[in-house]
Amino acid sequence: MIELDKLTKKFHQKGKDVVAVNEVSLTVDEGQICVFLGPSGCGKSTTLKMINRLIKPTSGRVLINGEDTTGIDEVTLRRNIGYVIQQIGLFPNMTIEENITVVPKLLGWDKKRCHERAVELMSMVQLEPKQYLSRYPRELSGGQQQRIGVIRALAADAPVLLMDEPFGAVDPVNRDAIQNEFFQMQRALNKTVIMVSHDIDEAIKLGDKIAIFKDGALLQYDHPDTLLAHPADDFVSGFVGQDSTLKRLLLIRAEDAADNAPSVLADTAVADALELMEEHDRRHLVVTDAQKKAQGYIRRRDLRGQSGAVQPFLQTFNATAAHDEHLRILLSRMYEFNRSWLPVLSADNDFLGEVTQESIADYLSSGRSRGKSSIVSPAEQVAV
Amino acid sequence: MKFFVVCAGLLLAATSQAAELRIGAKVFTEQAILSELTAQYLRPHGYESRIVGNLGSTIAWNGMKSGQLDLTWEYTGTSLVAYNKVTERLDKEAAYQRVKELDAKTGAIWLAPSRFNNTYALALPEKVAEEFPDIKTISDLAAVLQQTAKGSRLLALDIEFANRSDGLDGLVKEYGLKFTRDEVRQMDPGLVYTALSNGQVFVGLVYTTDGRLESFGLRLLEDDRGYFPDYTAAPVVNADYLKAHPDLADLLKPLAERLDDATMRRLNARVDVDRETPAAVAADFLRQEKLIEEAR
Amino acid sequence: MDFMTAFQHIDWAQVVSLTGEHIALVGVAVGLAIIIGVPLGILMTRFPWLAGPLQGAATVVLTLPAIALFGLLLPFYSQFGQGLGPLPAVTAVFLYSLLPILRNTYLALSSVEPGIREAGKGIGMSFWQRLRMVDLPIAVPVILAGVRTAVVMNIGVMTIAATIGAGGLGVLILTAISRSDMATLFVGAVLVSVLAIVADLFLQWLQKTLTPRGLKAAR
Repeated sequence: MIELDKLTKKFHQKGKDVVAVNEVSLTVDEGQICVFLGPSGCGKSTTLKMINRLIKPTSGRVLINGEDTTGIDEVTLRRNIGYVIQQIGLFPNMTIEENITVVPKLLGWDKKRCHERAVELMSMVQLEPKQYLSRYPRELSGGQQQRIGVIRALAADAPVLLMDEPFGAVDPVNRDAIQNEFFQMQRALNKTVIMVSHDIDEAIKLGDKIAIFKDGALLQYDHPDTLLAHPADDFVSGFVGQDSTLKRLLLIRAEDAADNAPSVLADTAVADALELMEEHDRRHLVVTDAQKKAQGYIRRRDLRGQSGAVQPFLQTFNATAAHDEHLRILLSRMYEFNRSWLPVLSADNDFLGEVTQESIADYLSSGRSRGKSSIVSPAEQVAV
Repeated sequence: MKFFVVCAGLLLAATSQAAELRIGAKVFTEQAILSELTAQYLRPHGYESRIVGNLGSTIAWNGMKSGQLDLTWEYTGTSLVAYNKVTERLDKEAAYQRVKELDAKTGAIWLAPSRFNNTYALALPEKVAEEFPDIKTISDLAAVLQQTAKGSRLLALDIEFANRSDGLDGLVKEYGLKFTRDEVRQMDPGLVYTALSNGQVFVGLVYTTDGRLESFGLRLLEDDRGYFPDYTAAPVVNADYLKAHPDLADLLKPLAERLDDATMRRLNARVDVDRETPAAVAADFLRQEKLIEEAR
Repeated sequence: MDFMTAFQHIDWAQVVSLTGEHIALVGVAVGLAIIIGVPLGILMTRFPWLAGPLQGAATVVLTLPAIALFGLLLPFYSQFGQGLGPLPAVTAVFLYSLLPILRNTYLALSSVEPGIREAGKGIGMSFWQRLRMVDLPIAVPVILAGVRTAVVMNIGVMTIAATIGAGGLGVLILTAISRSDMATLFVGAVLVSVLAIVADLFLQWLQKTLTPRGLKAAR
């Protein structure tokens, strides 16, 4: 858990006092990824570097797991914080294994433990230890080097990880895969991460919380979806882009945007079914069993002029939505299969509701956003 | 091993005190021979010598005066003119007495002199000598130079002589020698002989006891106006060292007396022409002259 | 005198001993230059304001002609009674060797990629740990290149040491010139040349061997 308490950086340039970071305060909960976002020169990198004191704060405190780091000597501090930079910075004269185990060795781990740790971490990034541990950085591709840079930062098992545009040097083709891989690792290891980025899409994808900086000040600190739905001011709104609502599609899950669609049992009468459809202005209904497990659906045009139970007219789903899939995938599927709706199913095939074009639009414009247990004014989200 | 070293040391101490003698030698052959003669001669008399050779001209002298060396063979003319800046023309005996007196005041004691005079001379290379059989003195040379075109008669000489106040300038003035600046080639003294031997110059400045004069077929020109001073060689010792080792003066006298012009030239030739080592030549001479017993 | 007999008179034992002396003189002088020059180069990266003055001083020394420098050091050392030994020669060559070694050390250390430097600092290595574990190993090839320059240049310069009684192959050369002994002169000159070539090859090999594997590895 990291807390920044009124961190400030001022320096003297050409006779004038420049405030690079102005009393930034925020808290990153344990196991969360916080992305510092903003245009160049906004102070995000400076703030990050004040946490591991590569830049000395003019005033303010940094607390890690409740402990004020001001009194800790900087070298000791840095050994207990993982650090990843854009240029990666692997030491060319050391093998991959030596690179990874630099900090553990400095902390006094014995050789065996270091080696085991290196092997363990290599497996997490799908690099065969036997093959790669004794190689040198020059022999690896850019993407591979970047991964090594990340696991070097994780080697000493520090609770906190600082990253300064870590995926910037990776080519776009590999960037996506590497980001996903990193995300999995972070969730598995439960590290608290602060990452600087200038890429809004990356921030949305990876961040549990996003902090928007401008001219040294923290403008907004929120869950990505809240940020997109309720930008604090024109600047933030402009920064997240005019297609911010579309960006939200990545963040919102099927279960968020599902409506409370009615369903019928297989032995329901056709007439009752038609009536239900009329009531809810629908042309279809999902059919479930007594335990609410989805079985299929019926179409109004199939039922017209029919009688008996709806059972014979049951159609199987050719497309469904899992409860945790995001809306972008759902929309894509809806277009692909030319459907106006999808049933939302739990992992155990429970029918949870339907997503339709309407329900999606409803949610997006409703003012609700992910990450909030209730609808609260966005202004209260920004830590002061 | 230590035991034997201690015994040997005690024995040595019991028999005679071996004194260390540091001899400074200038770079040319004669000095190497003189220092070898001195070292080998003095060994049976209890002096273990260390020869520091190849020294530049004033380095040996200053080394001896400052106490970094104990003894060096110096020439009366060098001390008179270069070190003491005496401009008077003195003959051999007077020159010796004058430098002895003057240098004693600055801590350098002249011991009994040798009988050879290693002074300067102008010499013609073999071919030129054949072409001009009538040039026998420096005045003759001057006359011939007056008549020849400028730029065609090169003079080779060493840098020191060229730049001394009593050197080239004085010589030119005394004899009316006509050399333009281009025609004067300064070089390492040893190279003058090479230049003469290869016929690359018209005339060269040589030293009268050098061993190469005869074998290179050089004709020495007579110094008819007596320009060049006397350069009698003698051992010169650091005053403090001599005080501690007063027997040196008497010891070296017989050695010095045995060395005259012809002898010196012969010894030099054995090294420069016959390519024997100075040490071997010195050993031979000492044995022949019965200055040393047969080697054990 | 035909070719073979021309070399007969040479005292090869003396030649060997003088060669050994020459190697020792240069070795000690350059060795001292490494011992003092490399730490100075390191200090220059720690305190950048030192860089200009130190490099300037070393460059000025290098421009002094060798004979002049030897000539100046002689009276200086004579005051301590060391004028006619190896000290002035070793000092002169030491001073000449400083610039290439100093400059190469400083250059190599200060041109470590910024990413590597920042990474090292950020993960918690102290200045000296970075120096020992990363910067110096990377700098070794360049420093050795400076040593090579110093050694090869000064093997020739050390021949002047003979004029002040320090020994070495210069003795052969000076004596030979003074006695018109072409054969010995030839041997002396060739030996100095050969020594320089051998030293260069050896140091090249050393440079290659001491270059960290990681810098040589290819994709």
